[in-house]
Amino acid sequence: MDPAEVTQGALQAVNEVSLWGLFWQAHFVVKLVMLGLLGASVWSWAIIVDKTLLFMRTRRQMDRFEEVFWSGQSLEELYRSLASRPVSGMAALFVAAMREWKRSFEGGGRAVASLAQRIDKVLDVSIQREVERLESKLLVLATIGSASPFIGLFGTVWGIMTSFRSIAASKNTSLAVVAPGIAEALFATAIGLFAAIPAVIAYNRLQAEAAKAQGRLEGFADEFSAILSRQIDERVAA
Amino acid sequence: MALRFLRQQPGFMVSGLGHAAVLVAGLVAFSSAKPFDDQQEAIAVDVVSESDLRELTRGTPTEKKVAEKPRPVVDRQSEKVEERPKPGDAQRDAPAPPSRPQTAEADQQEAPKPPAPPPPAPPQQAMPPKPQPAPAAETAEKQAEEKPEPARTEPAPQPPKRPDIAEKPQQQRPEPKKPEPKREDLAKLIEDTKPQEKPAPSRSREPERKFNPNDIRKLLESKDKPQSAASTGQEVNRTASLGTRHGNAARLSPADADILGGIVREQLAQCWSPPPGANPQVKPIVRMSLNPDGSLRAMPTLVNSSSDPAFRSVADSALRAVRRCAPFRIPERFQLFYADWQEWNVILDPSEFLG
Repeated sequence: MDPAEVTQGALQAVNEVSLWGLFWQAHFVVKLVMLGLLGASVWSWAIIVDKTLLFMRTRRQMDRFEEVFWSGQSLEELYRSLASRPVSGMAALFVAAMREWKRSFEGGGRAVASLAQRIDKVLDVSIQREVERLESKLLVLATIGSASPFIGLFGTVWGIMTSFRSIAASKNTSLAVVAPGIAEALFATAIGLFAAIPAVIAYNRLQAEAAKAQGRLEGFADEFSAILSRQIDERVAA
Repeated sequence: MALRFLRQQPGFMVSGLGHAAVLVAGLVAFSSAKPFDDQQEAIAVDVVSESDLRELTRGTPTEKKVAEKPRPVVDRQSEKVEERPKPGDAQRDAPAPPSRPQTAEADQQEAPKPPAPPPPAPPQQAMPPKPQPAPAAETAEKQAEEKPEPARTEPAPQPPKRPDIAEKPQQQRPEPKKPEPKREDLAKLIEDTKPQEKPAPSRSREPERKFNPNDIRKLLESKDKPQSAASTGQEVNRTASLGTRHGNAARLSPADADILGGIVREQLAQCWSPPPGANPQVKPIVRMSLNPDGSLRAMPTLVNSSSDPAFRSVADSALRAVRRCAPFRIPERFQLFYADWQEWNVILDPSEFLG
């Protein structure tokens, strides 16, 4: 390796330390890893944004519904106003239970014996559906959070491997020759961490939010089923 | 439809835009790496204190420890000895010792080689070399007066080597004169055994020409001595010692140490009078740490101890005396050996100081 070449290489190395240079010089496998991690990062942030908005919306709706529900308004009226449009959260539970109630009394009250159990079942199913809706894609966050560092590490190991192979080939161990390869290899780990850290944090936070919402739904379902079973008993007795 | 999806789940759009922004920011921020400032190449420096430098001993730099008697490794004894003056030794010019004339040696070495001159001449030649070496001595200027003739004959011995016939007569000339110096310097001739011995073979030159078994031996032996890269020195020494090639640490010779001890004690005597009635067996030994200028570097300390009840008082007075005497006058010539006397033990013998 003649000195001019080395100097040129060093200059090139200095020129190519930009983010784009780091990416473009990398080995094909490392490029794939980087692109994959970038995609994972975009996806995880999309999920984070969506879920955060969803939870905010859900919480607001629950608050509003509880307010309306406990305001003393007739349940029939409430049901009529809600049944016409798609609902979610507590309203969905309410609508599902009321629909079951209505159906049971439509035929002259013949199917009242196990109505309370049926309503419980319906409420359970609705809760499950709602929680599933809330928790969907959270697993993706968990996966990204735990796997990204390893994927990034894989890219780094691969990059350093190629670095060392080129060292062996060029028989030149000067830092200027080694550094770009190491830098681009470490860049893969950096992206991996960049994707993983928010994913892990968001997963924990969103998981807690989902658990809280589930608890709230279950609480409402219990209260509502209690009200309905009292109504059933009163009607049967009457 | 697409718009409604975007409004309900804006995650991908927001995330995509955010990542694009981060990427752009990264491209701008990482567009160029700030090169390191050119830094001066660091030069490894070993700090060698003055005393370290003084205590450089002779040896091999790669060795781990200093031997008891630091000496360089010597594989063979050398014939020549490099005389190095010790730092402490007085140096003055001395008359050069007389050396033997080289001509005589040259003669002896070259004599056998030349083809034999006419038979009559050799026996005579054999005789002349003996007297010549002695008279030729550079130092013997007086002798020159006595032996003007041999001095003149000096050139003569050389010509015989050349087979020129013209010069041979000249060789014959010195012959008659030789006997005279011999008589005068008989004693010297006897001393100079070597020249006498060596000419002997030249006497036997005659037979050589015909057949000389020695000739064969010489031929067989005429090989260069085996060369070796082994280091030579005065004494053979196979254990290496830590040091440098040319280090030659100054060491206070025992005699000088005595002198210095005497100087210090003399000065102490002016400051110390042992307490009256002190047990003469009580001899405190005081250790002084001295600066090169003779002042105390640290408080003097007691080295020994004794069960004698009087010891304490004697020792204390001795320590006080050392402090009082403090800047000791150390003669200039001992400066070189500062490493040896910077820690100096003085035995304060009351009986000595009383006297």
